[in-house]
Amino acid sequence: MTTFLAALALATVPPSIPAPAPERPAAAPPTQAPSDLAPIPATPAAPIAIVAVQPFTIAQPYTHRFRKDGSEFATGHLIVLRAEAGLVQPRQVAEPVLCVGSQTAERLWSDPAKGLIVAIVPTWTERTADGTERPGDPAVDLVYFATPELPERVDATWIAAERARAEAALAGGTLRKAASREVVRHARLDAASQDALITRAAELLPDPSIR
Amino acid sequence: MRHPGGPGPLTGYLWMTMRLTHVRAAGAVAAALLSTTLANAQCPGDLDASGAVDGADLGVLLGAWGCSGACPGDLSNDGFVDGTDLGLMLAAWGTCPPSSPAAEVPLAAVSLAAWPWASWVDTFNSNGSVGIAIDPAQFPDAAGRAALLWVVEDRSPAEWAANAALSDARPAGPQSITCPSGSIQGNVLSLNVSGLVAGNGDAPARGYDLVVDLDQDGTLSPGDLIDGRDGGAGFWWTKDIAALGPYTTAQIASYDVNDADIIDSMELERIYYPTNAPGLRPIVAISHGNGHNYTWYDYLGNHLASWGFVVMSHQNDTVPGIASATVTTVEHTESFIDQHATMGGGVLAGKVDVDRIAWIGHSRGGESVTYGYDRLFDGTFTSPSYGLADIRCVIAIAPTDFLGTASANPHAVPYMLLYGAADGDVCGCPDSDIADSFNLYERAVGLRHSTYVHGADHNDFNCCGINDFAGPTGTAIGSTAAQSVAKASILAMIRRSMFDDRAMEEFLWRQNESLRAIGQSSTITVVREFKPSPSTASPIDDFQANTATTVSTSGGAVNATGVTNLIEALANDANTTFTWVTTDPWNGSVRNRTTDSSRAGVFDWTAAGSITWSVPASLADFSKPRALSFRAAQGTRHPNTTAALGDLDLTVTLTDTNGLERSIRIGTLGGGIEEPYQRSGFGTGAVGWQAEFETVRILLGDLNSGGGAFDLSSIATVTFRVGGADGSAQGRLLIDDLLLEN
Repeated sequence: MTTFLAALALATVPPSIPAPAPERPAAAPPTQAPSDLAPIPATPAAPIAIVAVQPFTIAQPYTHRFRKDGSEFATGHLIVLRAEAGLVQPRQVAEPVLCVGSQTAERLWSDPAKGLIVAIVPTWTERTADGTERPGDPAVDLVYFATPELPERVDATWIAAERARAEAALAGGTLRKAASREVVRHARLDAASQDALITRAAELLPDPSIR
Repeated sequence: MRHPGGPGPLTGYLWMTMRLTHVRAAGAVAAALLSTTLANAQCPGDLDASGAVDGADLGVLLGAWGCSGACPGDLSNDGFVDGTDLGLMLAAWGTCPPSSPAAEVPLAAVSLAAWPWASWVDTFNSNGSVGIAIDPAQFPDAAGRAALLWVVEDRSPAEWAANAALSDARPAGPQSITCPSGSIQGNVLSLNVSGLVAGNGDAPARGYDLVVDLDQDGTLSPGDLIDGRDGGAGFWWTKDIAALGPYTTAQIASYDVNDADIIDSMELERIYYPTNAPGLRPIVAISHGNGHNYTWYDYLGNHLASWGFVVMSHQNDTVPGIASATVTTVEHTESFIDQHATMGGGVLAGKVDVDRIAWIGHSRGGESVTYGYDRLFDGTFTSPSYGLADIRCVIAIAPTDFLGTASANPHAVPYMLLYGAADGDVCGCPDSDIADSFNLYERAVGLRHSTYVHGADHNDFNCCGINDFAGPTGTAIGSTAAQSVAKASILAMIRRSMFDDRAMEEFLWRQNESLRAIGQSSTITVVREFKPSPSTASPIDDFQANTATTVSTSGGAVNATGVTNLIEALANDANTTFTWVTTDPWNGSVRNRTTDSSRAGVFDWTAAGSITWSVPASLADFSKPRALSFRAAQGTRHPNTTAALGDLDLTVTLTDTNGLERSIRIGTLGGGIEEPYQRSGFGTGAVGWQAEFETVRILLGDLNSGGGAFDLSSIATVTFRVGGADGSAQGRLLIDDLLLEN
């Protein structure tokens, strides 16, 4: 049996908890660092521009998850938008719901630095002034960012109300419709599946580095 | 020459100590002295340790008759074997009185700067030291005596009963000490930890029992002191839990589960696993947040895999919302269980424990793992591959609260919240319940823990998110530092939940100033909350029942003196700013929706005052519970809070039914109630952000320090004393969960 000298045992310092630091007098509030997360602009808001539109079909329909009453779809449009960063930036709290006419869009990609969003818009129908119906067209119909909400929780009633707000803002001059004069219209894309559609959607991006 | 003085009560000990010293010093073993090592220290005449003073002992004594110096039979310890010794032996003739077993006492401790001078905790980092606090007042028989201090690999009570022989785990063997005399103040000894091994396989901590071998016989025997015999270890010697663990890891970078229940674009997983860990390994699933990516959690996946977990990080369908994300969480978990045996060429076949699952989610993913548990709880999701009982804990990193009370609800699963005080996204802002992560935490009714990190932002907890830092300039700690906190606290929580790892539990409740992972910088401020399962705690007052301020939950009277504005109610910030106004007494408590139910108390003071809880007879025995705990937070932007910034201190006093008191300043345990993070926004003037509740856990055994007649088994009142000589001169405190913890 070997023992240590007691003196050796006491040579190290036992663990201790430091006494609390004294309070200090109140001082001027510290400077706050700015966040890179852009604030959400007021809604309804419009994109700056519609960059590209491409109609598509998919052989394997899938359910549109970006509205509560979404149904399966097999046709629609891929769109590329340019918008201010606060509308593009993904965030955890509610984002402005991207709508096209009476339809919600599925956000696929975004690049806040470049202000780009790539989205899928399932086919929808627009009723014209004379009461007839026509297929919706993202290059023509109103594209707008509606009230921040989870898309899976919105339905036709909600969308109609938001659209009415957007059209009123448009009529009142507080909303400017997105520029679409230079929109690139691509030929129809026939994709086999959702995965294939998303992969091909990347080809719409003007700068591949943002994919 | 005869020594002065007669035999005292310690004769046997002294005698044997001298003999052992002699043997060692001489380097020789005399046959005549060998038998003396058997002497029963509790029965001095019993020279052969047979349990009786009888003829055999008389024979030993007579055999040494006339001997001088170190002799067997020198019961009077005067250096001679003579008639005095014979008289003592005859007086003790017969069966020895029943001896008490070695006493189970707390020994391992940290020293404190004020009374009780030591806190007998159990977990120690292996880059530091272990204090040994042998309170002379509590153990007077040991005071001033030489002893051997043994460190023994942790044994169960049954193992100690079967084997009392001491075997030191240190290469150099047991340590000679002199037990302190007088007071424990300044007399906490330091254990020699040279060569002591930390960690034990998967477990970051290795348990050891401590024995103060007062008779120095190399055996746990009556009269000795032991810490760790009666369950648990005497202390835990802990590796750096922020560092990689014992196993090498590998990764399946991307695996497509191709599951019909998951949308095509969300089917990918990344898997991290230990390559050399034996047995079945528990599952940890990670659900990322919105705009995040399943590949962004390598730091956490590799960390947990190195500690023996199989980690699966999956694509999470967060953009549509929480319900969609929850589908990916629960379905990826199922797919992983179903397919793991064939993943990566079968590297996981037969190696996954599908009955132990932890869910971790970040932001929207944090809500999706919580809602996933709720769906299992409600039965709106069922799986043939796993069930509610298999989810051992849920960890949410800055979760959103879209779904609210009914659905973003952890129920009784062990629940952890990790949150950065500079979160610029799920910000804890007063204008929206969606951004208030602590709503989910408050709904958890089982064991729960929160780690609140000053200077960390939302995306510090992944690799690649946008810089959303929203706090005072110069306080950002960065992702490396934030992730060191995350790795340590998450590992501790999972191990506590899955394996009842009590060594890790201390990382969940001790003040950060007292214990933090070795790899965590000492400059990072971390605020911890911990609440045990209700089955192991009894509320004196949790403010949930008996809603008058004069009556506690447990039915006792509550008497407030000298404090002001005492109320209790739903702890919910009722307006949309953090500016202090008297009409919003819960300013900063963004922890409830109006549909939630977590109540608390709040009060303030500018002079000496107190709140006293009368303890009902049914709870009066404080000698059995391990701790008295409560949680408290400074009032956001209240004039008392901002007038003198700092950790807020107060005194907790227990009074027994005889009127004797014991008081402890909570600052002694590590800083007091944390100074609020000085973040601005949502108001003007003073700064400060959401309420930072912090748990204070007073180990009741500490209150025996110094001995005396104070009776922990019969406590009449618990008093919080504030102001004056008892702590901070002014302040405003939110208080809750005054508990007795077993």
